[in-house]
Parts: sequence; structure tokens; C-alpha cells
Amino acid sequence: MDISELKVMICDDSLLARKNLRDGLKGLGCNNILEVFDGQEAVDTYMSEKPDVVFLDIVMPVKDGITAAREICGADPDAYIVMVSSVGTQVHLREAIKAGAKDFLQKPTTPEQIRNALEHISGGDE
Amino acid sequence: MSRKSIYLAELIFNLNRFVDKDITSRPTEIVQKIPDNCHIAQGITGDYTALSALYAEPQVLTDFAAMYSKIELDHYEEIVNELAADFLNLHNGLFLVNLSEAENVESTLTPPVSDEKNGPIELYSDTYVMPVDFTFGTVNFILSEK
Repeated sequence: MDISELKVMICDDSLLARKNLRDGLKGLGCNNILEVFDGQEAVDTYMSEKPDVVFLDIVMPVKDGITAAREICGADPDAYIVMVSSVGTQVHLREAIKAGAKDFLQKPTTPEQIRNALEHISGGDE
Repeated sequence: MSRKSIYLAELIFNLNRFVDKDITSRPTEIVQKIPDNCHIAQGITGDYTALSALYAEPQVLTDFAAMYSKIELDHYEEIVNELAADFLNLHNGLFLVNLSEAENVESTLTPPVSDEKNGPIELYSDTYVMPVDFTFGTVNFILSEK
């Protein structure tokens, strides 16, 4: 699948983080982008929209990203979740992988990091 | 080097990296209370527990948020607080990554708060203020350790 065909969901309570990710995705030709602001919205929107990839922050109000990732992957083991956080500690990395996340990006994200993450799912790195 | 000293040293590094290279940090002061208009804060919990916060005059905060985010901001409005809180979250996160790697100290963050309607921020016993001078004014950074 081409990167431009991917349906992507961004979940972050930070408007700047959402803007940076959105700009990065658009720069890669990806325009089918959903944006939500907390973990519960991520779970609800994932179930109704079934995006191809989810960029999920960890520290968020209402429901944190690790819990949201666990719930999404519990319902759909094929979900492709990329955690994006400023707190990329070993404990958070382990928790994210245990929750079912496929990748982890340390904030601030760069366009290259976003491209690499998307190439994994689109098969562009094979 | 104490964790407070590491936190403040990394703060200067991150301000240089993400906001502006032209800054001067003034000596850290111990304080008993912080101004009532200080409403941008984030908790650090775990092996190392502390509260971080920042405050500045509205126009200074606006200029700080604009330089950090590269978003044009003419006047003080709610988005300014959110962007300043975003910087705090980024710095705190990077600090915890370094603490985890260097000292095996594991902590996490609570969601940042930036709403002026929130009540006063609860401080721990040891509270430090580090004023940082930018070309457009002074931003005060708080670290309150448990």
C-alpha cells in the first residue's frame, strides 16, 4: 500500500504535536488524517473508523496512551500503533510493546521518523 | 550532581535547542510560594517525584510560545498557555529519559495543566525558581521536589 493511501489517526492532547505530525504526514502525501485528543477518543474512533495506523501519545487526560493501545489491540490484534511520546523511557517502551504497539517515536518527531514508521506498514522498507 | 541541578542544566539545554540560543539564566532561588498567576504545571511521579511549572507576564509568555512553536501569535490567548505547557511536557519527558538511562530512575508524567481557572498549584517542601532572561523578557521556571 502506498503511504498516500493510508488512513492515519493522530491521538495527542498537544495541539502542537498534532500539528507537527499532521504537517509531516501531509508532506509525505498522506491526507486521510483523523485527529483525536485523548485515549478514550482514540479507542472509540479506532472502532468506528479502523485507521491503518495510529500515532498515539502516552501522557494524556481521560485515558493514557498505553491503556488505549491495550484496548485497541485487544479488540483488533492487527492494529498498527506507533507510540509517540516525550517520555521514551525503557519502562514506557516495554509497556508500549506489551500493550501491542509496533513502534515508538521519541518527541519531537522528525519527518524522517514519520516516514520510516509509515514505510514499515506500507511495506516500503522491504 | 543533584537531580535538581540536572533538571535545570537540561532545561537550559532544551531552551537553547527548542526556543532560543540567546538566553541568560539567573541564579536559582528557593521560594516558599509562587505567584497566583502561575497556572502552567506538570507533575513528575515515580522514583523521582516533583512538580514543574512556569510563569511569565502575558506578553512574554506569548513571545515564548511563538518562538517555541514557530506559530505566529500576536496577543495573549489560551493557545499560548497550551504551547508553553507543551514545552514543559517536552523538557520533562527528555529529562526523564536521561534520568532513566543514566541512573535507572523511573518516573512518568501527569498530563500538563494550563487552564487559568485551575486553583493554585500545590507545592512540595523544596521549591526552586530559576528565572531565564530572553530578549523579550523573563520566564520563571519552577521545580518543587518531594
